[in-house]
Amino acid sequence: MSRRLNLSPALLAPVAALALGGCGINSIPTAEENVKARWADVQNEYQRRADLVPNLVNTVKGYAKQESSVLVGVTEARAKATSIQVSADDLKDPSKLQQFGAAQGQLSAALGRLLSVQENYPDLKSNANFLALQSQLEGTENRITIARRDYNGAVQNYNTLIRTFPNSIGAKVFYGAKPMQTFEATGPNAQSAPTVNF
Amino acid sequence: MSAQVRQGWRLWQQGLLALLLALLFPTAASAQTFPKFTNFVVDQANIIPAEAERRLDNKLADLQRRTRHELAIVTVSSLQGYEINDYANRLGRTWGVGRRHYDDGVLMVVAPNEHRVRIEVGYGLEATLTDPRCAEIIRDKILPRFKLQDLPGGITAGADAIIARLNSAAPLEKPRTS
Repeated sequence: MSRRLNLSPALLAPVAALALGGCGINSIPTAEENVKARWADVQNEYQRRADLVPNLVNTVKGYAKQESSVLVGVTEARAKATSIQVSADDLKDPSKLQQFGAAQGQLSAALGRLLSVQENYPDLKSNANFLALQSQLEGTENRITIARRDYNGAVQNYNTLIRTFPNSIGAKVFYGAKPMQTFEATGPNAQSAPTVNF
Repeated sequence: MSAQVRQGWRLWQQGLLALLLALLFPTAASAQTFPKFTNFVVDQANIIPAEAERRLDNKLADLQRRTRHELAIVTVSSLQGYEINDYANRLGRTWGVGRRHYDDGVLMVVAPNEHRVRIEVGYGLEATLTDPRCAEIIRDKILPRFKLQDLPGGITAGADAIIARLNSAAPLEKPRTS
């Protein structure tokens, strides 16, 4: 009898580990970290886009000074967009993500107006620096789209995990896990770059 | 009566089997269909003559042997309604072009029916094949030939420019994690 009692804690440990493992004790934090990492990617790509803006504005300015309202609009939209950051802890707060998305959407719209200006300035259109910046902007918009898709995929994965049995038990009991928010772009992206056609 | 019951049971079994199969392949119905990754050159749209295709494939195999970087070229008969950027990224991921931890794959997608072309570059090679450089290759090497209806010539010229760039690039140092 006493022998059995001595054995049971030793047995209990692996059994408990297995049982808890089934409750998402490991998989929930892993999925959460993945969401945070993918969000960092999203913000990085938006930052990359913001970093292109001053150069782009200067280049356009050199050819199209009279478009000052468009140029000022881009600079202001950039300042606003870079002032809003969403930390990993804010990912459960839909209003924070909406603010971020709205500010970035305004920058997208302003950039779209800036790029459409080129039609009136043939010299700008064929300027090597402008062409390079334009392709970088287009590439960055692509990366934003991909980063956003990956982030939303990670969120879906996390939300499904914490809502489905048996992980939902661990999610409630140990983590008090709340669903995270997906991130949709508001407004069109600045892909007014002429599409390469043949 | 008992025959009816048995038949009902069989129908129920069949239904259950179908359900199980559906659960086993949840994405099968919604997934995009991509061409199969059989060679470095996959000419689904059938626009490259066999001889040119063989030469191109040899070049790409040689590039992969020397530099370990993978360049794959695909012509598709339809983008299935997707933007070419989106399509190229998804296809590149599905095929797993490039070494996993280096993410050093390059994929050229040509969609002759939609008149679109795209060079998709893995993160590991972005410093070598930057956005402006890829845009330049498309603008200066590929499109002039495409506009003269010389699709194989444009594809080969684009591939040569990419290969030249990869040849002169410094080797990648450490694998990217994740």
